[in-house]
Amino acid sequence: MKNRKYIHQMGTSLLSIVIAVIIGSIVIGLCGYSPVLAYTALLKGAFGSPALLMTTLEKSIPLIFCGIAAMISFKCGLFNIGIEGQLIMGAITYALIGLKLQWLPMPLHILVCSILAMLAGALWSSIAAILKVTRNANEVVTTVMLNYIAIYFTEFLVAGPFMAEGMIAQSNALDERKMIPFIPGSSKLTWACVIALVFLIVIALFYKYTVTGYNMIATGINFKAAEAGGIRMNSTCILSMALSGAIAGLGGAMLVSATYGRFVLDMSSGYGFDGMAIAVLGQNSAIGVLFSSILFGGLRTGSLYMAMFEGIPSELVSILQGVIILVISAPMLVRYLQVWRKKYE
Amino acid sequence: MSHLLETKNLTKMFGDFTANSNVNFWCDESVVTSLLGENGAGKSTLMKMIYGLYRPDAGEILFDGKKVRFKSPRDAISKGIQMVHQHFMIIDELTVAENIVMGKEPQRMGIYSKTEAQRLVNEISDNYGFMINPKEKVGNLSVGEKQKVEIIKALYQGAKVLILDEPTAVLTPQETEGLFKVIRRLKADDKSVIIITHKLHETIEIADEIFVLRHGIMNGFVNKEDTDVHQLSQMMVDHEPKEFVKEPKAPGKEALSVKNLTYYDKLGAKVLDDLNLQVRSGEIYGMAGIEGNGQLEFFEILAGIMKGWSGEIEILNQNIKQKSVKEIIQMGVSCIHSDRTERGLLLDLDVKMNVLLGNQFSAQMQNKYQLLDYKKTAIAASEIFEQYQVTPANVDMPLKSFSGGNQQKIIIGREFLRHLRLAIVAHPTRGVDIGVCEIIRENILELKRNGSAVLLITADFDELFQLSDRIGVMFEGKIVTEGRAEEYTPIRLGLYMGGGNEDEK
Amino acid sequence: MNSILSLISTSIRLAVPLGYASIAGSISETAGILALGLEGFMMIGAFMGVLGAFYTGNVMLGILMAAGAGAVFALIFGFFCIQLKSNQVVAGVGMNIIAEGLVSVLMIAIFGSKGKSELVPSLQKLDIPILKNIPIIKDIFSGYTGLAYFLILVMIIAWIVIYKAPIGIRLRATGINSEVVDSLGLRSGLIKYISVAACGAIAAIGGTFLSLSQLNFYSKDMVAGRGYIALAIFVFAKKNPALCVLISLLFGFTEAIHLRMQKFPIPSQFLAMLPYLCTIIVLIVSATNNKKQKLVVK
Repeated sequence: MKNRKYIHQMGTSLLSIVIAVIIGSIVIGLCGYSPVLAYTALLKGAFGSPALLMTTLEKSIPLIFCGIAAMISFKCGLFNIGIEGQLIMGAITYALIGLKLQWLPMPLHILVCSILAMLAGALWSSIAAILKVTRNANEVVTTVMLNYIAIYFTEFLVAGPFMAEGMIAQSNALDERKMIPFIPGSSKLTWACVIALVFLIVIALFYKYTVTGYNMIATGINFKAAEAGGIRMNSTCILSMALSGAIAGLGGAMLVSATYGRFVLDMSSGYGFDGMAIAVLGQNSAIGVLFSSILFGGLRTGSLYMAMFEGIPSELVSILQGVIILVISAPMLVRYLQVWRKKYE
Repeated sequence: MSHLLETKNLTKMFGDFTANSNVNFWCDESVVTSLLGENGAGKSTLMKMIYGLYRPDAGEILFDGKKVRFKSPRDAISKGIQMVHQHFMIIDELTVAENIVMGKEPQRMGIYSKTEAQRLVNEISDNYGFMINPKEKVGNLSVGEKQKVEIIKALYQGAKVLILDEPTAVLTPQETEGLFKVIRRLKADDKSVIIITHKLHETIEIADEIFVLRHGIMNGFVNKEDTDVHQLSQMMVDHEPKEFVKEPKAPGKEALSVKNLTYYDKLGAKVLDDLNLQVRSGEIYGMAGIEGNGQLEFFEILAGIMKGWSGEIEILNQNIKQKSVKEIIQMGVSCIHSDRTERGLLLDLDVKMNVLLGNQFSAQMQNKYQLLDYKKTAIAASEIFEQYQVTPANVDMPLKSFSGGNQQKIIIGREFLRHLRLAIVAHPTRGVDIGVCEIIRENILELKRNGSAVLLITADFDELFQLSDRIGVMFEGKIVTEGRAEEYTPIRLGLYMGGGNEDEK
Repeated sequence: MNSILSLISTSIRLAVPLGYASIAGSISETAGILALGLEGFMMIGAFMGVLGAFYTGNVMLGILMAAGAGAVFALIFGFFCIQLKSNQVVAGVGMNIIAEGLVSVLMIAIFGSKGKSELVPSLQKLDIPILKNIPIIKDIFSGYTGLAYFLILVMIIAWIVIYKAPIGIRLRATGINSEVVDSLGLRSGLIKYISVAACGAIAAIGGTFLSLSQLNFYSKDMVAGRGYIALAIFVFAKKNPALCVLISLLFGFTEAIHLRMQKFPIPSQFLAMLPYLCTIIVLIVSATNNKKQKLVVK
């Protein structure tokens, strides 16, 4: 019985990808480009060669963190649209404090700065959570507002007091030896991917075996029943958002310590929003997040390839992502299609 | 002479389950027709087909002798078929007039004419002797008044056939008399009235023609003059209702003590007014009362959900004012909420996850590391399935796939899993069929036999008298009468439920 | 004195798109459909307006096209919410992502640029006949483009429809409990579709104010979260169109401060944050203590 549930869930996800591809082709065609060329370029760019595959996997890492962050909030029935902002706050924390703590040996440096980055992200998301719990402020709006505030705040920091020398608004660079090293044999993939996988497993176990995890799931399904079942609403919601923000912050930390080595404006380029699509496509499960992250990482690398070699704008991928979210949001769609299929059997 | 409305061999199936099978039914002008049957017999399915909400799988519906096909309620309404639902279809935030005229709003130059609407409403209202103020917001009305609004609405919208779905479920015996007067008036006005009910005595009193539905099949048709309560009862159910033996048990110490409980809601209305109540171990206290007199708030306060009340509540000699829901549960208390879908079920999750709800903190469901142990949960679920005869006995199935009755059994099973010292049970057998009723009531009695205290809140007089040792009536937030169950009759209870007392004569 | 007048008139000008968007959201939410797609509707409107003006050479036709595109886009959203019973928050966010992607792609495909479109004819500023001669009044009430005055008309019509017209009763009822509306034989689904389309069209017109009124081109990130700010506005205004416009003025003011007070020693980024901070404050202040709505989505 359980297997049927998993297959059903995977089927829904795959179906929505298929529908998105179909709708995407129509849109691509309407914009004057060839769908066939577009999709082949995407696939080639994503998985076409070992080097490209490595890039895809590397880009998947922040996506996994953002996907986990989104998943945590969605599972509790909350909509954390502010993952982008929380990631940025985590990133700036890592970058600036990391510069101050460079006297720490490497593993400790990464550990301490990551924890601080997670705290920053957790704090940022908790603002929205506390407002929700105390003043019933819609968390969609507050987290979006906090995104903008985070963007402007970090811009102020790296264009002002913490600006590096030169013309670009960015922070100073961390010593390369303090950054997360590459996996032996690769020049693209760092140990951050292991960290990501570890967190995925931990989160999956958390939801399955801990009472707190159960409480969050129950709250997300029916908060009134959860309340009657002895689950504290306020603390559960705040904890869930805090965890979500913490993981988002960790994603930002990884961006700095594994990829960029410093805080650069626009370094996130939408990882936070992709995180939501990933959680939705992965149907809020750890394994779903894993595969969706790799898919979206592939879309990112593929879209650059597509833009460079076929001249098709990479923003096309946003449309695909939006369609995927839209299609998954509709439980009836799958049912309609099943009924429709039955009619013609 | 054809009937006003008639069904011939009407059949409706949901998957493998046959809700209605070859049902022949009819109604006529100036006739009060009763559709009698137990919960789950198929009455509401039949009416939904007549009202256009369901499409029949076989058979036909005739209106005025001509075959009709209702694709939606719009079609039925256009023929003059109006339904007064059990759960009122009204908008609390709008006024009486707005609710009644919606869809056929009187207007002047494109602007809604409030005065004209009020006039039209008053016309019908005065005709029937209703004292309803059209300008009032419906949310401020009592249940009985809301029902009157529904009837006015049906008439305004052009009813020829009025279908009343369990109309007396929310009324006192006295209000029921008032309703019957209205029904006789409707009959005199050439309306056809269909009453859907499971109450024998009321059917005998008000109906002219009686149809009895049992397990989806029309088990019989009689005229009122030709039958009696016994015959009807036999037509409705296939076995003798179980006689519950209420063993007198010497009650123990006080398990629940409520003193001077007062609670004001968000709008400042006094919902609970100096409420006093005691329930002892080994005793079932049945609380009667019309919904909306504070029972819901009282329940949620006892459960630990609602705070901000004044007074003293002690459960098992512990003051619960600062206690959380979890702490109250851990004290050995269980609350069966009246709205099981909203408060009791995680519909999308499977049985095991639902069994955990409320039990997830206890060692019963945990392993030695305080992590959830699903093996234990599965065992508990299987035990519940067996004890309560839940079908299908599949612990991995999501709750939404179970019938209402089975869902209720699972809820009660998981709540009674714990070693309970106090159970607060609200409307435990609402909307479930007779077989499930018996199992649930038997298990409540079992609780009492094991020494628990039980506070039972119910609107079902049968249940109230079958189970209670003591009875109290809640009216406007306080207990207005209280005593041993033997001291009361439904009529006497109804008097208090409606706010009267025996000093008024 | 001049700078105060200029501040006021700038506030009014900046309030207009928010006014449109919040009224649009009021209509949709009154019918029971969450207006989370407002950001996307405004983007579509702003861009389509420019596109229309570009192809036809006529700015009014551009605005009409924008309204049409907004309505169509909103109807797709409505379809998912009403027919397919989507989770409205997820669908809304999805629509916003689609809108952003669509506009970006079309920008490159048609104008060949990611950042800025070509220049198009824009709206003329109107000088109101009598008012334009009165000294102070003229700075505050005259000299805006037609769309600003049109907002007042939209506000009045919306107010009449919601509170005074017969369909207003049905509209409000649909948002509270559409089952009741259906039980009367009315079509709650149709009411929802019309409301959502109106929302899309009006929000889109608000978007064109950004691209065609003050400026005459479309640029990336033009909408900058106004669609989300509008959500806070109509919650605070309790979905009353007149109050929506009033509160939009408040937000227009916070934006005006950023534009006009560059000389102050506060770093510009903090000034830029003002509208967003203001939104959060508004939400805090307009808190409902309705525990029933603890976790959104009907």
